[in-house]
Amino acid sequence: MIKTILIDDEPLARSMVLEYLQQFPEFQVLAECNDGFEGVKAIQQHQPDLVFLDIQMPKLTGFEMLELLDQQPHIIFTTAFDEFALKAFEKNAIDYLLKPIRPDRFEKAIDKFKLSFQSQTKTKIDTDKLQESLAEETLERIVVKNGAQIKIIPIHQINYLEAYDDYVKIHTNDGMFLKNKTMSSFEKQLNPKQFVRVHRSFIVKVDQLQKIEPMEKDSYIATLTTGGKVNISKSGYARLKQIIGL
Amino acid sequence: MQKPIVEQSKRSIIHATSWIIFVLYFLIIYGLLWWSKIGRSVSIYDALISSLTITAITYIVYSSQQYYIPNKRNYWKLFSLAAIFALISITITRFIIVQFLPDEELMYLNFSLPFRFVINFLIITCVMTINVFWNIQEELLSNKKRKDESEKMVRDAELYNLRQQLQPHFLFNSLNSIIALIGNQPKEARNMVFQLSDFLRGTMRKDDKQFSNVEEELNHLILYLDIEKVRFGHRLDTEIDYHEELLKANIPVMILQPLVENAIKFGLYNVTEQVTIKISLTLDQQLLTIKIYNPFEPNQYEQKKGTGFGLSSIQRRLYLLFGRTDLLQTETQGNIFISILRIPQL
Repeated sequence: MIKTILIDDEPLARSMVLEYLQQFPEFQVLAECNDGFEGVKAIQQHQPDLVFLDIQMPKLTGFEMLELLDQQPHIIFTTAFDEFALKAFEKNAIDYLLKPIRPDRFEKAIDKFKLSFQSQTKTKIDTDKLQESLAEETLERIVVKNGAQIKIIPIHQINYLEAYDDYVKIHTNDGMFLKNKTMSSFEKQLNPKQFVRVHRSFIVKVDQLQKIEPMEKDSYIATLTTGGKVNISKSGYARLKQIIGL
Repeated sequence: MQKPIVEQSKRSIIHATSWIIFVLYFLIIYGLLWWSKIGRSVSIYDALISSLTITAITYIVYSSQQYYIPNKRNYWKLFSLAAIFALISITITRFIIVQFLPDEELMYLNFSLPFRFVINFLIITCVMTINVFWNIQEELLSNKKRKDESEKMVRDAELYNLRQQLQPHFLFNSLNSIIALIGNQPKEARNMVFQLSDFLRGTMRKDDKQFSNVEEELNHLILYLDIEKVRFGHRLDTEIDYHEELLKANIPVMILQPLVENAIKFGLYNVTEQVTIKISLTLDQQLLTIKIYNPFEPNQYEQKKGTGFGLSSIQRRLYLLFGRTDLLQTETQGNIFISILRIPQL
């Protein structure tokens, strides 16, 4: 038996997948979810083998939801995205079904899933890479897990980012949050006019800078309006100069 | 097409000023010579020759500086040029007069040369100034025309593009819903195909005109909302509030629907419960006001000045149509987000 969960905010879209799945009695649908929050909960509760996931959904998008999972089940995206976006999916070897979903295409996706399910190959979806190749607009918010809670941080609340092993510390007025993501992917996704990578370990929001003092040869230390201190390297200083025109 | 007219009126100004100068100059010189008790036989020739010379010089000035506009720093050039022209005119005048008249009668001529120079200098300076002003005016006019033209071009292209954004996402999701309905609820499916085709027809019909009336736009909007309700089931609820009188009011085509679409997206994608979108229309003193209310999560969004995502293209269109930037505003009341659209009734 294959444990399956459907996540889509349109009931009719779910019913369509449900109907197609009736030909495959080995799939058991354990939950139908309306949004990403329900999705995260259901996935943690049921530990499904397969999830049909819509991308544009209330509260959390499909991508944001994936970022919150410690263990990803096999995902088949169901989306009405355009041709351009599909290239991004294909490039990242991700299963997707284009709405309206054709039965033959659905069967193919199921076959493909069965193959990888039987051979136990786990493919983790790299949402960073996917979002980069989707060439989405600059990041507008970051979703983090804070204990059992899900916290949505709008970009404007961020003061600065700090590298911390495999994580990034996100410093906001509400405190610090950890996100499992790389500095370079943040650097790419944040608006370059607002956020500058001033150091290997720091990305700072430009309007948070209060003063910059030289520390050693070719390196500086910046004080932020919120009181935090941030190191600035030589190349970081050059980047900063370009943005704020020192 | 305007150029010939401008050129024609320029030519007539050249003729008019030149011959007015001729007549006045003649009278002044003749009068001055008479005052100085110079004999009539001499003064007639003198006045005629000098005024003809100055008229010829003005023609030369006009034709040599047809498109000339000096830089701010180059005005001194204008004056020295005027001085040179004045000198030339005096030399020519004297040369010709000397040929015609006996030497003994010409004592006064050398005496009067400095005065003649000053008068000619002033006249030529005047002519040059008029010419330069005219050229500047002409340039401004053609610049403005060019600017208007390019703006109009940009405007047309932009309106075309804005209208072309037919939301493929909406279309494909609707098709998906229809396919899902066909199996179990064929009647509903058929109904939705009708709605969708009416909606699409409405979208395309509007391609050639900028304005429509509220009634038509509301009908179009209701079609759209009905389709969205099928897609989102019980989660979406709408209320439309208006007075019959304003159904005939003018409204730009396809401006209400994207705004409501934005409200739905904003509402549905940020609130998981049931969402009510409320639309109220009022008409007051030649101003149609449309308010669209949708629920949202206040702490999740930056309170951007002006408009949020998706509203900027509507803002731009309103600016192109009315030349005003204050026609679309947003505000929040608790967890209700309100978009306020104002349409002046021209």
